[in-house]
Amino acid sequence: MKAKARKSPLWDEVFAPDGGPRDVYRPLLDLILALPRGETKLIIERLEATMREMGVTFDIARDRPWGKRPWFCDVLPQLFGGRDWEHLAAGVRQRLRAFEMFLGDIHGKKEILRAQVIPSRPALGSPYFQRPAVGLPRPGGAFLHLSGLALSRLPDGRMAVAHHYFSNASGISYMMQNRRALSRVFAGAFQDRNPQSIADVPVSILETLRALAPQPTGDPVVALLTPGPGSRAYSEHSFLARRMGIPLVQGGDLLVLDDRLYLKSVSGLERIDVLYTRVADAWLDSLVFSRDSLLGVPGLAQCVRRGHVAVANAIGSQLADDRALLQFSGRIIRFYLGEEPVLPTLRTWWLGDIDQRDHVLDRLDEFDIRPLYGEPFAHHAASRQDDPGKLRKLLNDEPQNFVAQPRDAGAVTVCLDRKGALDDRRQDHIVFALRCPGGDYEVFPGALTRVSPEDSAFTASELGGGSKDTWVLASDEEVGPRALVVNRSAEAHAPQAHVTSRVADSFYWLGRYLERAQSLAYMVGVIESLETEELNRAEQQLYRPVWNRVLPPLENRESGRKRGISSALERYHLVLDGREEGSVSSTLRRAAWNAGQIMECLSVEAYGVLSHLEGRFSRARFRPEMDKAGLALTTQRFSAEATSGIAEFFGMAESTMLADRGWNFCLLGQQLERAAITANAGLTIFKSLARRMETQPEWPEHAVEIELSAFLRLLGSRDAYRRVYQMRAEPVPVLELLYDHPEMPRSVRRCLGRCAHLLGDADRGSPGLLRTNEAIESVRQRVAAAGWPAYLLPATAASGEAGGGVQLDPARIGDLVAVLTGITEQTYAIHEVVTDGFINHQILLD
Amino acid sequence: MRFEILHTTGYRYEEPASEAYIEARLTPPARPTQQILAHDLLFDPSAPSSSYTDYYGNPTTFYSMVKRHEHLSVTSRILTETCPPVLPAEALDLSVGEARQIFSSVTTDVFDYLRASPAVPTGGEAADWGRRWLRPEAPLRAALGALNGAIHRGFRYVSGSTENWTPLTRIWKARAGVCQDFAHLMISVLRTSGLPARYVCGYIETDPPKGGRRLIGSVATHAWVEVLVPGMAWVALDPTNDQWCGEHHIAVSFGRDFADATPLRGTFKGSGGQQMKVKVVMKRTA
Repeated sequence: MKAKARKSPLWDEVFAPDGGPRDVYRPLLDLILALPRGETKLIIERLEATMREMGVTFDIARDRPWGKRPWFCDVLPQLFGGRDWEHLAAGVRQRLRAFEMFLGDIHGKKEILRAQVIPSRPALGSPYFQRPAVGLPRPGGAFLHLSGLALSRLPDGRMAVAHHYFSNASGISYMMQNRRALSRVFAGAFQDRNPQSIADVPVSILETLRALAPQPTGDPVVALLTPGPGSRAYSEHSFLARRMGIPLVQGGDLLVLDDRLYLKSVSGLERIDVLYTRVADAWLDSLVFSRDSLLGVPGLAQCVRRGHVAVANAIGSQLADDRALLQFSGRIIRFYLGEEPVLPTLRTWWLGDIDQRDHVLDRLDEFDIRPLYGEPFAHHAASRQDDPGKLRKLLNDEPQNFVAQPRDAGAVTVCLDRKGALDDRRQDHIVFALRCPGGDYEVFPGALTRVSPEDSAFTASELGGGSKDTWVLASDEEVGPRALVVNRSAEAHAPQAHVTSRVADSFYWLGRYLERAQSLAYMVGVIESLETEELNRAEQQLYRPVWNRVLPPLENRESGRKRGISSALERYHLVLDGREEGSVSSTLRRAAWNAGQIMECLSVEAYGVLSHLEGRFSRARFRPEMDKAGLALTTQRFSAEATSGIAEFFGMAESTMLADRGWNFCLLGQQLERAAITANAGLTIFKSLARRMETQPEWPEHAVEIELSAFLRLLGSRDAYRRVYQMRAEPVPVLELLYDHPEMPRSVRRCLGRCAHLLGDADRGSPGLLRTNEAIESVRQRVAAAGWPAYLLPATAASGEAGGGVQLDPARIGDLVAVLTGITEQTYAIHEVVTDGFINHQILLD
Repeated sequence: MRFEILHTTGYRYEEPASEAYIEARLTPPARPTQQILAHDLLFDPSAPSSSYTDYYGNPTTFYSMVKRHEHLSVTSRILTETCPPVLPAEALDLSVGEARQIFSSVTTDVFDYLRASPAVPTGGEAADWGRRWLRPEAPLRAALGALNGAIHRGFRYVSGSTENWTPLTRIWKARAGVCQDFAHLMISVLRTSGLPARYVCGYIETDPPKGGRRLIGSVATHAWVEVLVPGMAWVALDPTNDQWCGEHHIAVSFGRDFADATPLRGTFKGSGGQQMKVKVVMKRTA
């Protein structure tokens, strides 16, 4: 092996000063470097592919938490020898014990301040000291339950604490994902090397959380509160919730009633016992903390105060992560524990102190500047660090919000490139610990090791573009042949037990918008053909106003807004104009927005079909200045694409997704929308016939037939009609087919029947379900009782054909329109009942 | 003096709201200067509410309404008997410098009222005012009275001129504001000079006493200042009306600034916005 000559003052993680690998790395490095180059390349490619594949559900590409480059996992893991790790873990446990006591003290008697061991200002003046948290009961008597902590090597090789992530164990899912990926593609590396398993991490966390339930119940309900898809860590939240089998909720999914916390789910209101929060303290309750927060739950603090829900980590925990307090870590440990710190703290200057500020500003390029909490430098302030002038101004304007840490921290390590060569990178580690019931901490034997991207000008490790799987070897003595530890059993995702009302709502609207877009696209496509192929000018003039109203109704039916279908340009707008309300394009966009809200509930394949289709529309060049033929052609092409693309989405979803309760709401939306479109269309056409019978009694019968026939074509039902009736289009068969036919996919009866069936699967016996079923049943009975033939003229009075008349009775057509109006209105009304019954629970609360 | 106070807050929505949550700090505490003979708090639509004492010692009522509703109102009715305060004479005879010295040795206990808070920054022009009106050798009583009068004279009371969240720096510039701003200004000067101070929200008598002038702040809730003096006693001054608070003032809630003591904090969920209307009626009954 080629010895590496180094000049860097930093600690070298992999190689000893003599250039050879350190003992702990030697066997694995020998193995990797002995691999044929083709195999190395294959492993790297498979690893990338696996990360990508996980990245889709895990969505690394979307949130890229620590840099702008795609996330990677290196083939060479970070290795910790057993003794090394024990020392490190002891330091983590010690620090957690001390800071737990510190949090209790600051929120209580403040003895450390009274004893003047540390100054009051960084503690009581911290923006993360939440006064309303004082006196709140703590779950299991403690603030911290699941915590993270960042470690960096000092140049002398000692491991130092660089940041506390005590309140928020951000990154823990990456630790698990890396292990899954590496063990999948490079099982050979695990052979004989025996890294300690981290497969049980989700289960351990869940057990800890369940044990925090404030009141003993047989089966406490735990939920994970996320700020939502806008959060950079959303994919982590989604991953954790899935692996623990608990609902992933946003503030709007919860409500507070009688000082208790409830989840709005399609089954009704479900009591939440434990809330694992990934929302910062300040945003948790707009009544008590930051008032403009939409992320949290108003009233949550009162539920905690009354002992009805446990929030972990406890509200107020964030104070322990304020970097202004880092420099006092040693004093805090000594004061509460009477022990010397096991792990040193990376030197940290708080710029709110004028002497420390001067020290830093005098040699700014030796420091990394960081905010008191979190990592926003990856986003906006990195540029400031590029621009010393701007950075200085910021530090002079609000020095109290920043700390400085030396840049020469963090070890040098190596990553393998495709050719099998080793590249130098910088790294640090985040380790994670869980509080045990007795009050000690279990440090998970693993870490998220973050490494810098190859082209990074920054040494700040959190800007890194990748990571290493992190192994804790059983112990230095015990390394020997033991069974390959690759636990796959925990990989099965727990089923989503609860469908929150928000998820159901998004699914429901996804279904409705897709059906609406599909019907509209289909109809406009048909109209485009009818205009050019079959109808003469007089017929066009006659039918256009009717067709206009046959189109799927707009969201706000009372608005009275009319859409134009008369010219090729208007039809072009109706399909492709993203700014026109109710166009195919804007309806698809709404559908896609709803899909984006529930991305983690959709299969990759189904989501792909939809985002491709939406992309086609949003990227299509909008060119209303084209000539008529061009407009017509484009309209038809995009209509066809939407019609088939939406069908493809439903097909793909049904073949790649669980037909669970969430998905049922998508189908429910689709079927309800379809029933409403059919009912509205039927009403429109018979209203038009009624008006004509009134104003033009001599209207020829074959004209009625043409109109009905065109109408059937608009609804995509002409072939079905012919197959069922084998006759020309006549009023009563048309009514029967559209309203009452049990097998006709568009009929009101069939669509509502499927709605009832879908809801029956969704939940049995809730008040919302009962009311919805009543509403559906009442429409179906009205359809069944309609008795269509009664609206015809008696046979003898008309053409005298056998088997009864075919002409509508002018004296009864008004009654028919009234019946159809009633059916339409009642169908629309089902929407309110569904919303009140499953989404906002008004029916339950009545 | 005996007062009956009716304080009504009504919310009207553009669209019915689906959820509403409110925290009310409308329960006046019993104090030596005010005896609470009766108090009730009504929410409409009615729903169970619960209470707790907040960090600043305010009795706080939590109300949640999760049924669809078109309007919401909160009515507080208070029957109270007030008497003039007995000022801590010895403490007020100490000099500003002595008081400052005493508080600097107990910063942990008075931190909240000695440091800047979200709505009350310290320093800047407040430091100049402090040097001028709170000289170290001046007795507290005279210095506090003088500062109170200086704020009263130095700023114009202009009803509706500011919002709840108008930053104090703007008030310093505009030299005008409402009672909330007068209180914040005075708190800022006091804290900058090392004297702990807090914000008080309450009521002041509506009808002008016979032959007297009408007191400003009487149409809605009023705000003033309490200063902590050695012996850990609070003394109350009203810079808006240039007076030491007396029997005409009824205190309801306290905090570092307006944000802590605000009488009603609400969160409403629904598709439209809402408008708030406040009405305070105060009658002397004896």
